[in-house]
Amino acid sequence: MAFEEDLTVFTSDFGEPATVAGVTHNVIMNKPDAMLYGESQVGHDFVMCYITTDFLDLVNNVAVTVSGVSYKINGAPRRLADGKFSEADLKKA
Amino acid sequence: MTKAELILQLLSDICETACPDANVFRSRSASFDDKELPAVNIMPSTDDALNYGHGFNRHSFAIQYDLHVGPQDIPDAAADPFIEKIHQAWMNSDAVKLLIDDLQYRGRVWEFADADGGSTKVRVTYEITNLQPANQL
Repeated sequence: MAFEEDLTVFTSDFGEPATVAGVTHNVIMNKPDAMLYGESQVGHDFVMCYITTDFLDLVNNVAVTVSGVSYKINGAPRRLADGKFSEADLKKA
Repeated sequence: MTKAELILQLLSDICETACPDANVFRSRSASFDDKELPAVNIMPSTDDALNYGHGFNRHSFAIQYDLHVGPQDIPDAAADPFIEKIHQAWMNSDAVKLLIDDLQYRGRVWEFADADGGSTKVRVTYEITNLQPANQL
């Protein structure tokens, strides 16, 4: 018998509300810093991890609001592992 | 104070005046945060001296600056006006012409990175030529 998964348990505790085109789902926001140009500059990354089927049509430059902050998708989103989760880089709008 | 230090101080002062909306640094080794951008970091590179005879050396003093710009949609386009302003200010400065024999642009290298949008670091190099007494640096 197939194992039934409820993927929303992964975004319920630490997730933040993200809205794209009026549709809102919980996502995990990561904000790691990165060292650029051989450590001469600190870059601030924004990475949204989401259930793939929640936002199927994300492409570069699509507007997304996470916890009230406006961003745009920065580059192509990518699926993780078995494809049930995806990541998208964001930049502040 | 060596001639090299006088030159770097002068070029740095001119850069600050020419680019009031940029933060200008001298030989900064600590990393920049994007809140500090745009930033210009002026550094010496090399100083080569050739014997010119009669107690003089001909110095070829290479300097460079790193211009950090970002986040921007087209970061090299955002960097361009700063590079132009610095170049014009340095090349047209009477104080520079009094201090050195020749200042030549020697090229630039762009590096790009993606963090919260586009960012670039442009390294711009100049060469200064000076005839100096051998007992002076």
